[in-house]
Amino acid sequence: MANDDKKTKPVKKTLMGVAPVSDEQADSAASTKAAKPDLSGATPGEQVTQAAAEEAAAGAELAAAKAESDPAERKVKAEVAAAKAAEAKADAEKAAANAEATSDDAAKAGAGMVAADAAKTRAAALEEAADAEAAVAHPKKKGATLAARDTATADEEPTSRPALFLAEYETPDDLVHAAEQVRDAGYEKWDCHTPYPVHGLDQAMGLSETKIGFISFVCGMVGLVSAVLMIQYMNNWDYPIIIGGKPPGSFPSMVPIMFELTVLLTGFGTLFGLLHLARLPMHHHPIFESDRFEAATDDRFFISIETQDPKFDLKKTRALLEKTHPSHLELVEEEIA
Amino acid sequence: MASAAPIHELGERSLLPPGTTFNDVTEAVCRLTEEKAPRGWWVLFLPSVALLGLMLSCIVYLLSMGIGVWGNNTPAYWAWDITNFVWWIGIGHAGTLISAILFLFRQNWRTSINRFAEAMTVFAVLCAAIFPALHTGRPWFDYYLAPLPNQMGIWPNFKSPLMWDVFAVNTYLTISVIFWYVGLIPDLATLRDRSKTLLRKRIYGALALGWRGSHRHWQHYERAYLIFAAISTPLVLSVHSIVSFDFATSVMPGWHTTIFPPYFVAGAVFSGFALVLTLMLIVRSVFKMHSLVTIKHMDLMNKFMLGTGIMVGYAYAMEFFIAWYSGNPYESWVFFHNRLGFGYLDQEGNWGPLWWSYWAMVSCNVIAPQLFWFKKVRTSVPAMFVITIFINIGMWFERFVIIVTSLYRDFLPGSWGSFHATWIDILLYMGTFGLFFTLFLLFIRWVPMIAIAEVKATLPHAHPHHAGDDHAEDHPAALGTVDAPAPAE
Repeated sequence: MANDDKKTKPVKKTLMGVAPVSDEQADSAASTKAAKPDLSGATPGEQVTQAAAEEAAAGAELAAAKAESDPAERKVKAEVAAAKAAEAKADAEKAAANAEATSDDAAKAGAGMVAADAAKTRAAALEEAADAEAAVAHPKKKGATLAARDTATADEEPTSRPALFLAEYETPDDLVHAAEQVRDAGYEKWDCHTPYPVHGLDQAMGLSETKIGFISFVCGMVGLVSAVLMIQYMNNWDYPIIIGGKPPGSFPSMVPIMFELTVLLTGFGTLFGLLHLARLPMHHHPIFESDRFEAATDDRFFISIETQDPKFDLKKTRALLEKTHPSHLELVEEEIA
Repeated sequence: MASAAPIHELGERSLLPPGTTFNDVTEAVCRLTEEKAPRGWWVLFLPSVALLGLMLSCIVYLLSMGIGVWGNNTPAYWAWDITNFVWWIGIGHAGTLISAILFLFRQNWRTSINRFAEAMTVFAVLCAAIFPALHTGRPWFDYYLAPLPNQMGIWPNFKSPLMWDVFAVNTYLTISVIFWYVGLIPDLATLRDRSKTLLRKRIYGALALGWRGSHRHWQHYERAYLIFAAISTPLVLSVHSIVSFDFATSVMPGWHTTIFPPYFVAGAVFSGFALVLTLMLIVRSVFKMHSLVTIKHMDLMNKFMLGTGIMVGYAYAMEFFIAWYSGNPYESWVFFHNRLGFGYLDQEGNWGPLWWSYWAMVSCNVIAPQLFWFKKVRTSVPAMFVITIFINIGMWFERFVIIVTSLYRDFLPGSWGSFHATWIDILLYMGTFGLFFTLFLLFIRWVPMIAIAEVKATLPHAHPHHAGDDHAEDHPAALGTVDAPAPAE
């Protein structure tokens, strides 16, 4: 999937800038430090999580390098870890523990959870990357996040960062209950994803009335007026033609075309109004990184809360969503390179 | 929003089998685009492509020879070409009626057939547009119809009903395509998410515009859909009204009638439903979709045909009544001599030579659908198949009767003639079926032919039962089930 999301662009550039350094495997710390200042384009919250993630990652890498056990087992582990984040948790915790010294700062910054998560992903990535063959042999099959890690071989940059929490529900009832709780918790950058429009979700999400009717109406009126102006200009002013003894600018014969152009422009207004309000087309979105999300157009119901939300907090948001009894909960990461 | 409450009150059951899950719907519809085409598809597709080739050859021949290769003559200046145009446009009307008008009336049973019917609208309008475009004689100058500045400094005459027609048909085509596409977006996303190959994922992904089922989008989407339905409803009524103005604003006896707009619209819906049903019966058996398109759906469509058939029959009768009651000899001549073959003989004591076309029309359009009074006929697949074919033929004859029998024996015996179709008339008309069916078969093969998201929304468990109180009363309605308990409040 092409990574052309606006948000990731600045980061992408800077990472490309330091790419030669990162290619040299020798000094991981140097490269992470080189990358750090360049993240200034990101929001303050992002900077913290990024910095913490990177420092933890550096530690995790050392830990992984030390603990070189059976390569085959590692490979299997990495695959499982990518498919099921839960199973990888144990590894991650180990890695985080080993990385205690380096991730100390991060823990102080109150982002221990971030560090652990980042360490988890890095550990998985490094295990994968240690086996060069495996890295080549895994094209984007098992989900974009894994694929991204695969292709990123042994470079030192984090290739992904948390983008959103994705909670999955089995029934519309569960979804609406959960949506009410998320709404009441005061989140803004969050959404429900359903295979069809679910009744009552507008209220449950606290959405205000859509503005699309206004857009359509304005466009329709433009159509009406332009029909009148066009006909009057062409048949009455620029080149008057008298047909059937009627005055050139007679009103009744204009009605059909006035109506048709009103409908036509209302239609265009509605189409483009819809695309504008929904910010479509948008072919790249971090939510698509989740394999489970494919069921959102089939038979599952999802709530996503973006890390961009001012109230977002890895721990608290996770706790909130866990309280709504999702059938599955995951932290979806987006690629940044 | 009083959804389909009437259905509920009438005690009608959900049209889909109980226990249908969301995934069942996805599977049932998507598999058609994912599996290998059934043999029946190829059996239909290859002849369609052959007919399409025939159409293209006819057009090339016609362009190289001029429209004299048609049977049009003096005084029958309009004949099969305009007949076919009006017929095809009318066919399209059922699609819009099903997708827009039934939506406004919250007839949820439409969800199984609306996509299908909308596609039919688009293709039928394309077929229709071929005829007037060629009838101009030099189609490469058809852009004169558009209000474009030109070196001659003249503009189209906006007082001409033919000009209104240009706007009406083009608007209709454009809006139909947009409405259809907007309806498709969520379903294309479903296909995208089920794609096994990269190519499919890319193509459906591009077409789905990155749809992610977001409720923030659904909110705008639902309103947009409502607006489309709200503008399509008067649009579809206007299109055939304006087509009828082509005739009604003239001073020809047989054309100059105020009953034409409603009469044309009823006829359009009538013929459109007939063709939707004809096609659906074929597609349903080829693709084995009996669980999604049920006998109950067809029963309802047959009732529509019975109703609109009676309206059309009333219009025929009323035309005759007025022709007689007005005492206008020219009007009476057209109706009794040219059409009915009763009274008003010519000098040689004969009826008009095309009297049989009138009786073909009446027997197909008025008599045949009366069988739909019987529930046994309404629910019998072979019976309805035959009757819908009759209606399709009858509605073609209706347009032929209106156009040709009003023209072929004019005010003076000196300008009398008749009309004989040439082989190119016939082949070109057959060829448009090739265009229609080729597009249609490609559509059912590559695009979800049933509105997946809309069908899901009508399932009994689709909506939370506790949610917003003012929505509570919608649910049993949305389900269309008798089993759903009436809301307490």
